[in-house]
Amino acid sequence: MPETTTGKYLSFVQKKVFFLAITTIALILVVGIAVTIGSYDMTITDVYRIIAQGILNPGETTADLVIWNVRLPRVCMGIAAGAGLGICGAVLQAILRNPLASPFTLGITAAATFGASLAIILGIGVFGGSYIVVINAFIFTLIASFAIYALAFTKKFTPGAIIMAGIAISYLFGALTSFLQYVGTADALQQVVFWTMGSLGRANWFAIHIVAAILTVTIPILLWYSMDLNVMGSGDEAAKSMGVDVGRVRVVTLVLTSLITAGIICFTGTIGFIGLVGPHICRMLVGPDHRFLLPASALMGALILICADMASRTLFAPQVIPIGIMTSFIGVPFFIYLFIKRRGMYW
Amino acid sequence: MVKIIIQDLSFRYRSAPVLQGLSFNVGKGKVFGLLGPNGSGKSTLIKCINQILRPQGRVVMDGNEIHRMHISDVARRIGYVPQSETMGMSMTVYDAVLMGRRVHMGWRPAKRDLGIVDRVLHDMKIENLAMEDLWELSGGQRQKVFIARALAQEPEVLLLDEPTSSLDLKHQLDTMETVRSLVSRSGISVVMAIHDINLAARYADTVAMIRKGSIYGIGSPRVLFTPQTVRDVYGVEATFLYDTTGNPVIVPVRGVEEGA
Repeated sequence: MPETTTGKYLSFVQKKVFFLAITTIALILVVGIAVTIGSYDMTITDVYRIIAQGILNPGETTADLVIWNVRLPRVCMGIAAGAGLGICGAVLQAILRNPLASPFTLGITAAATFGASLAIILGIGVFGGSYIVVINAFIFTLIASFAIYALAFTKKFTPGAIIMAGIAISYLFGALTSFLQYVGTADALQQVVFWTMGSLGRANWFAIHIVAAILTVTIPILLWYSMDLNVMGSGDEAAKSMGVDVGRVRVVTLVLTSLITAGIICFTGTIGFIGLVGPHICRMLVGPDHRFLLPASALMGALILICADMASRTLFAPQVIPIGIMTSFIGVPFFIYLFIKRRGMYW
Repeated sequence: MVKIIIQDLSFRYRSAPVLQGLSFNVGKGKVFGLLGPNGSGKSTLIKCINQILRPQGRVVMDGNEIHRMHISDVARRIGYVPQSETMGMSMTVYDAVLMGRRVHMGWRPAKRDLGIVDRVLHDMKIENLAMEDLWELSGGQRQKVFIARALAQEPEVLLLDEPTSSLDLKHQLDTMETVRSLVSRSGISVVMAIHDINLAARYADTVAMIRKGSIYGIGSPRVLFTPQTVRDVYGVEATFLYDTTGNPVIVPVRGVEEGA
């Protein structure tokens, strides 16, 4: 019966909305738990109370200072970075029609690493000062992105062309970084390696404001393209026949995802697997409809990253394991699980 | 009554011309078949009609030049079912058909959009598959889903690229009967590239035989299909039988050397 068909669909939609609500609640809980972790003891209710009070009227107690100046910046950066990388992964997997696509597929992180290495090893930066590493990483990420667009433009922005261009750029910047490491001092090399492992420890409110501003502008636009991303899963020709300007959607979303990735990794260093695994988990739970998949991937990315950060701070405390290592430790088992669970030839 | 006028249409890929100076009309509420051997340009022609490819020449629909229309306006008026679709993300049949409403709806489907999805699922007799995974269906079922998706666009013209090429005999007939009944029920026009000359003879009102990117002949299948035209276009010697309704049933016998 036709009524039953729509009823079933709407019931599916309700389940997806329910999943988003549950994930949001889980994220709020995990944030509370994450902020309690550290040498200064506090309860989760203290955390929520101090955060709620501090939004309007920041206090001056030790607990206030620990939360607002030390722990919350780290957790907020975790939310922003996880959400941004998660949503970028989902978008890139859609426009490149490739289940292995993530913000790192395009090789722009290799460019970020080169920019950071240039500043750390040779002290060369686009701008000097205390943000030389951050600005270098950001600028070189954008340079790599535009190089990829320019190369892919010659092949009409097909998914294959974009991936090939990404691989070429990745190898180029990888080689340049290796050269810098070859001539660098042992101390500088250690700093570069630490940078590439990723960390939320460098987070501060300035960085969070920058990333939040980028996400506030870009995420609504990406969500606006959700339906187009759904249609593009059917292939370029079918998508065009359904009224999607495939080339424009691909260029706009690529520019936005590059901007998000650049904005995040310049402050955190390389954080892998979030953008790859987050969308896959969500696709299994809410399906491929990007109207739900994009927000779900953002929430899941934030959740995984904060959990990984908690694990990195507590497993070998007081030693902090770089978060890039921890996300891979969490991500690889998930990835293997998905690989085994994958049905047939599709994703 | 003419629905689409194609005038002096040519198309070339980078290296070689594929279509050269094609002109013909497609009638309103009619099934127009495009026939020809592999590489003759049938699929390319289909894609030139709805702007997937950009040809030279004119494609005019109800007085409007298609290539001056926005891609969304074209999608509101012309639906397209590709020959095959690469396997993509796992999705339900309902979600796949809802994609056809993309050009009409905003971010969220309205009641009307859901109603239309219901209707086309019902019309295509696949409402029982609505919550099944698209990629776990048989080829014939999937073909119906793709036709349903195109119908969800509420098109005036439906372009079908080899709609029966990967189907067994039963599903071939099933698909063609569905197309025929759509045309008589809703009055849409259908342009289909088709390999099977017997299906074309049975279900098309008019056919164009294409050879090496040019039109060899246009007309009703009963008139156009002769041993000589089949030999000229396909390079095949064929025996002609006739069914009870007078439609030709063409039995290919042997290939003939070109120029023989």
